[in-house]
Amino acid sequence: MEVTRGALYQRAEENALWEEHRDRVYRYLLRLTGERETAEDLAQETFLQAIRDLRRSPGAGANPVAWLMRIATNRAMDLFRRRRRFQWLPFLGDRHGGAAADTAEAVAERELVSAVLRRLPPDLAVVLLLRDAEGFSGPEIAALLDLEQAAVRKRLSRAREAFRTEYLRLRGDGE
Amino acid sequence: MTCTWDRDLIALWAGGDAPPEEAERAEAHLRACPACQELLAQYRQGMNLVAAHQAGARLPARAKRATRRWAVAVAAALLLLCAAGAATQSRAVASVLQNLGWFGVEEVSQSEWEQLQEENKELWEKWKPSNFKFDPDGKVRDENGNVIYTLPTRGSVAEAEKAMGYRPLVPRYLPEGLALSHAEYVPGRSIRDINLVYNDGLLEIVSMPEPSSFTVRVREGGAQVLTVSGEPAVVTRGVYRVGENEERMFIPDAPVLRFSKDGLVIIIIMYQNGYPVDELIKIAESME
Repeated sequence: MEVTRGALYQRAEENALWEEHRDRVYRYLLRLTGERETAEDLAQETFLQAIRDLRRSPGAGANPVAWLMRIATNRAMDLFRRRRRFQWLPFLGDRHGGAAADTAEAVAERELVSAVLRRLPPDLAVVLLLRDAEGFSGPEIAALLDLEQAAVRKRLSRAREAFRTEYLRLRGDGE
Repeated sequence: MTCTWDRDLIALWAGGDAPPEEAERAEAHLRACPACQELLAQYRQGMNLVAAHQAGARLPARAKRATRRWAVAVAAALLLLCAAGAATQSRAVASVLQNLGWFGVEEVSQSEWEQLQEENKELWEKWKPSNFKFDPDGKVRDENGNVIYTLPTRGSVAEAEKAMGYRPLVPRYLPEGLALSHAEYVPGRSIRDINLVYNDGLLEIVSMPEPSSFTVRVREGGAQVLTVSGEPAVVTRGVYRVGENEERMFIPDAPVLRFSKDGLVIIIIMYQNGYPVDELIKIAESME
């Protein structure tokens, strides 16, 4: 179903929105899920939903990035729920062909951070990434996630502590 | 070396997230406690790691320009499609469209299709150009100054080429009674489509140099894969046309042909029910 003229005008704005923010949304999803294909799929879902929402209420808010991140977060959380993500994964066990290793010798830092992020409960990972990776403020995150600011702070402190502990543990010098 | 002081507060303070009334308390403790200073350093390290993680990642372009290798592979698959069932056909349609660069392909049932037409009617009423007040530059802005609507520029093919920075494909063959009216384009955007308009809009031919961050909705069973000059192409049916008085007409059986040539994705739309696809293919194969 093709709509021209009307769509040509409208599409220019929709696509401009996406062109500007697509990489950022993808990065966020990649950090959150740790999987490229999953992040790509979720990015697509985010875009599709954003278009639908935009058409229902054009000019959705003064903060399009926050709005896109909100959709992205919801889609990711839906996926996690479907997948029951809360299983602990063997740390690089498959790659090294041995039993799950708790030490992290010769592991690239990126894989380490990725592994740590994947071990955080999703609701903590979301707040951690939105704050420390994406730079949203506390109040912005609260609005994005429909939480009280106090709740955001609580998740953030727990997330940073969980990251710290898990990072030390996986790196081999846990407490 | 450990301390049992309020870790949560230090974790917050590390990123400037402590509530103002608590921040001083945290600072005072940190000044006096080496163990918590170490803790603080670890929190900050974590924040830096998270911020730097995948910092350079970019969403890969969905589109692959139709290359010969790919075209050969799909052409082989097409031969198998003749006897294939509906499911294989839809996958093939989606595959060709996505390889042409469409971001998404959504297959909808007949009833969803009809529902979408209803929704579209409402949307069109909202988005009619006459609803808006245009600024002198042909743009509509909301109260925050964000552009929400842009009228395309009309010009000759040469003007379009100059404005968009590439030469669109033009057909050498046109069915009887059709003549080029003008080209339409929107300068200054990342979307550099050029739309050639024939007669009063009966025929439109769009050249797209970049992949479309757009979704094609395909009615179940309403699309078909074929070839244009040996390259995979898709015909879908159903299109809206905007009349002179801004009325919106749905032409359910109007054919739309999408294919790729010379690095551009081309869309040919004939706004007439039941128009023969063979003619569109002739137009398509004559384009240069």
